[in-house]
Amino acid sequence: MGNPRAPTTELGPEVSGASVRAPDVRLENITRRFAGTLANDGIDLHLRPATIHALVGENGAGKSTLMRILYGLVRPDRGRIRVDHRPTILSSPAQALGLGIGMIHQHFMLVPVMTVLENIVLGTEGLRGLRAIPKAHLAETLSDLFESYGFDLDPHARIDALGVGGRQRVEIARLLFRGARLLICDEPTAVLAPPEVASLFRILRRLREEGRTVVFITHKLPEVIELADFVTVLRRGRVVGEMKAGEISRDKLVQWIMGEDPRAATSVAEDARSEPEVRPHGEEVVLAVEHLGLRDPQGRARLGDVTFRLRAGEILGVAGVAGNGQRELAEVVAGRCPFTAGTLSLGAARYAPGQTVPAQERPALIPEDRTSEGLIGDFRLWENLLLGRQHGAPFMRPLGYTHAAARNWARPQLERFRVEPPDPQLSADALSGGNQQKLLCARESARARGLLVACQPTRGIDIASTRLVHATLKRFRDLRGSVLLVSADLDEILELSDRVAVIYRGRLGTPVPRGQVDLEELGRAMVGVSG
Amino acid sequence: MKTWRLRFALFGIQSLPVVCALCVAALLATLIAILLGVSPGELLTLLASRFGAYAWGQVLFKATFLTFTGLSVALAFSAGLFNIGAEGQAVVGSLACALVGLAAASAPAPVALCLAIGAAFAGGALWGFVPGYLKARFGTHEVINTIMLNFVALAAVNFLVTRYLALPETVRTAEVPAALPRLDSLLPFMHGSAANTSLALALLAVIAAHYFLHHTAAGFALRAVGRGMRQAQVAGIHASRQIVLAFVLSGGIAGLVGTNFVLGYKHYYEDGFSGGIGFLGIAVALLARNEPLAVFPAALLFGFLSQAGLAVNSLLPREVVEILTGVILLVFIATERLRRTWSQGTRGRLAHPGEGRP
Amino acid sequence: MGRADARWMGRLALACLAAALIVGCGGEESGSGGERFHVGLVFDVGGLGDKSFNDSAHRGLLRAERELGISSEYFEPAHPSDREAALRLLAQGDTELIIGVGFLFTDDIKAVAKDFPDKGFVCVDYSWSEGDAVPANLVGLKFREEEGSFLVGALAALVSETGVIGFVGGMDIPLIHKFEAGYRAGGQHVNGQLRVLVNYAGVTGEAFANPSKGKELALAQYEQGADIIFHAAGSTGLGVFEAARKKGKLAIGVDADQSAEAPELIVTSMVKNVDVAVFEEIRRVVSGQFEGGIRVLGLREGAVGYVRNEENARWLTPERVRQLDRIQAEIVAGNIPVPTE
Repeated sequence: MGNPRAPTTELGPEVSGASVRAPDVRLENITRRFAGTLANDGIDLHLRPATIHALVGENGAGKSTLMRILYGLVRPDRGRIRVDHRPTILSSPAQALGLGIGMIHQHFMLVPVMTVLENIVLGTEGLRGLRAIPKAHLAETLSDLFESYGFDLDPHARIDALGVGGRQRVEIARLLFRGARLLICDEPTAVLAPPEVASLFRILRRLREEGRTVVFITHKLPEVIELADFVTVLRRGRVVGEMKAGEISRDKLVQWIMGEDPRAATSVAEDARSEPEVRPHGEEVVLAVEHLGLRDPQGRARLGDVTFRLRAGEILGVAGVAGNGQRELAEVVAGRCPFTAGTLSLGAARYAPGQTVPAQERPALIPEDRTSEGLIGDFRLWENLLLGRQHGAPFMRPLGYTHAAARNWARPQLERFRVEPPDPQLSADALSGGNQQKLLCARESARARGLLVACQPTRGIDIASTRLVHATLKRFRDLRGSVLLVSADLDEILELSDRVAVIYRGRLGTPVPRGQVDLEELGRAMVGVSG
Repeated sequence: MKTWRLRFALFGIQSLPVVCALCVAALLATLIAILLGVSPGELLTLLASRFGAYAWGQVLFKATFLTFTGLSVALAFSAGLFNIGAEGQAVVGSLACALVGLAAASAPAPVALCLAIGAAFAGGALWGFVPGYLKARFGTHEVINTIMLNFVALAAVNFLVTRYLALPETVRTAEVPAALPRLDSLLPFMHGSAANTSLALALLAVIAAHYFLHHTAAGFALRAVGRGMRQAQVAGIHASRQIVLAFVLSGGIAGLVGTNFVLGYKHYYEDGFSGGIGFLGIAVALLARNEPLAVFPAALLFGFLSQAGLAVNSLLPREVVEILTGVILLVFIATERLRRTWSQGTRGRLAHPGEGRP
Repeated sequence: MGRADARWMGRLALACLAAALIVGCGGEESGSGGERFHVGLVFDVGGLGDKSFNDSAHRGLLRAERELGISSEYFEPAHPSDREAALRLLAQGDTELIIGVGFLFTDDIKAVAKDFPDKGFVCVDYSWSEGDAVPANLVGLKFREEEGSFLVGALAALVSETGVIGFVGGMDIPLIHKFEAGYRAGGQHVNGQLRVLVNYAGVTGEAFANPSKGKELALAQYEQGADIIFHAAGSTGLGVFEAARKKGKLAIGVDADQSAEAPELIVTSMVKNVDVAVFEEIRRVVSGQFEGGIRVLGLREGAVGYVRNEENARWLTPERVRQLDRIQAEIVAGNIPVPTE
């Protein structure tokens, strides 16, 4: 292999060496078809050693497929991969790891009840069989590794005691421990708060300095400009362009990502700037929450003493790092989950702890996880649009409905929300993430009567879809509807909300009007630093 | 590629599992026959000689049983539930049918008949309600519950019949006056066949189940729970109600087996009559991909297999039918995956004809 | 579905094995053959291979093939509703005599016999009730199990040293009560002071296939002083034999000669000679003497009895055999009434 520091020893990883030689990887003419669509269509990509390479593009542009091919999870139909100029067939992640290629998935693959150390050594060569784990020795090695990268991790801490940022660092440490010299990160910042993003970027730069290659997939263009040495834009399975650091232009990127659509070419940020700072809202209180508390069945507090009011024609943004109770707050407010303390008032109706909100009184909810909570994957688009509205649908007759009527009812909705393709007969899992989210948005905004709870409504979706979701929420607000917006994306919160509150460890701070938000202060509140 | 060719290919792909399963079964049957020293020609001759109108009537009679139990399993599965308890539900429904039929002996015939049919449904529905309620209320797994309730139903009914209800020296109840006419009263050439007008009831149930699932709001909610319980709940559908409803309907349909046996064939309840039709219903539902409209053809297939096995019983042991049933299912399940992948690809190409690159 | 698949696969594997074995043994020519007199026999579900009266009926059929030169075929229905279907398939062909084995055939065979008046039908263990008109072309065979049980009861009383004997029944139904009643009466005919312990394994069909229950009941009876137990409980009786082996006490088999089940400990077995009865009916038809109606077969006809072989000679001493012969003669003559309840 020509790499004297390849991690061939059983438990002696090359962790904090001064220089590491990353492989020179070229993907050539990679083509892969899934069920009739070309996910990758003749892609060429050169990953130069010791660089940070950003991969951007709309959902469904083929970024993830390409990286899964590089990690040996998916076999290409055509094309080849050269590692250090040698044609290589990657047929499993183990093989990719052997060549120093590692991947951090969007959803972490850690065992929550095990410690950091155990997770890192899990499945490592040399630890198979019945040999005892030399924990003391390993803990020392890991402590050194953590210290040298500034990971701020305790090898003996349990994973479920860590925040999202900590878990991500464990994933990175695990790859380093196994000698990864090319790290693929799939949307690493999607779940992080600003301070954590900053520390991640420090780590990634450090890796580059050592000579490792980092490939990261993202939707956030400022990150690309800040961090990347190279950026490659994919659209519809093909490479549409590549730029070097220094010559990266935001407008050019947006144009490449969106294609020739002039409608989409204007940037989202410009739209937001043209919005009035504070919109006048009504006095009518749509939602009032007082001293609300929630304990899970094990007795752990999930929400404590949450108090706020939401008026008609207002968007209240709840910012916070994932896992701080925002999901629970959204579910309680949306009447999907009974609470254990305080009161919840929806319009004129007041609910006490333990009471359930009747189905017809529940606010509309765009749930956090669109695939496991929002849409039914093998239901058709019209069926997904109908879900939860089946008794009030206009095409429903006392003796039942016809599928033609249902399709005719669904099609204009799909078109209005630009769901691509707008074919009511398709099943939801045939859509890309962004289109799924638009579909969900179409349903829930039509269901909403006064109050809409939106939970991470644009997480992991492309620019055009994000624009549409944002426009939908604003339109809903302008029609004197109220929105409780829960998001880990600060830009989104600041763009849409009339007032902003931070949630940290189940407690909600006082909502502040958007005009008075201090960004630094907000970021610190999200990680619990400020008072 | 032209659209019609794609459509034709799609049709071919869709029918692939069934065709494969039947071909493999036919080959295997031939092979077994040769191994047992029976010439395939002799086998076919015997089969043909014993497949007159009477035998076809028997096929319909068996298919009636299997339509009820297969539909029961398929309906429960539409709500994401495995109903392994069709056997028990059928037994309870049939006993209820016979008992109500006996109690209503003095009522006018149409009234007694309606009461008995209603009782068959109600008995099965009651037996289906139990696992449905347990699942909805306590979250206990329906597979375990329905299996256990099969034991309870079979043992309890056996006890009641042999101890209290049976006529002396028999294991059956007295005769129920209410009766569904046999098909041979309309089609005399089928003379002697047990096929009866409960077949119409079975077909009606198939159509009603299809209509309910695919054309009513309530059926939509049921399917939504079956395909995505969590999503349906988040969207405001009362999942536990749908689970109970699905089990009640499923059990009721299984209970209608009683109309075929008690009202159509023997006119009494006989202990042990069910003989595994509830379990064969699972096979029927599987072959029908849990679609109500496909249940009847699947039931006909297994009905035919069973009757054919009987007809050639003197040449081939009856276990061969069980082997073939198993092989048909195995091949079907194995090729079902292929069908899904291929038909998705073909559908994709039908939906996006522009993307014609090979 | 995993569970069902596994079951199917298990069955498939078993069946393949069975197929291989059958091939190894070589094929046997059967089926309807030319001019010969054709007899069809229909077993009940799961009938053939019970080592009891179904197999016994089959032996009668094979003997008729050998000695009377008939051809034959048999059906093993897979489902209860196939009983009638099998009878009809046979009746529609060139079969002249159709035999149904088991009391569950009663209604079906009566209906089919009426539809095919020119064919002969026989039902083994026909359940006949008062006022039941049997078609002229149907023979209903009934056995006096109580008479055979009377004899083994008498023998048990002669062999017993404790004056206590036991009875383990399968399912608690009138058919099995006949065994119990005859056994009790026979025992008390010999010894008026005799105590008879009685237990049934259950009220469901399962009671005939529960050896562990049989063992439990038999052990309890041995504990209570019984030194010999008669069972009428199908494979549940295997548990009775196991208890006998464990305790070194005696037992009496049923239906067929069961002396191999617990060597040295089986006093005798009460047998029902279904083969004799089946052969006899076939002989009558072949020789043109067939006549419909109910035939009740007991000691007089040699249709029930007890096993006497080399192994059990030590209990069946010439003295005791003479005693039993005397009782048998009295029963045949009608001097000893044998109860059925």
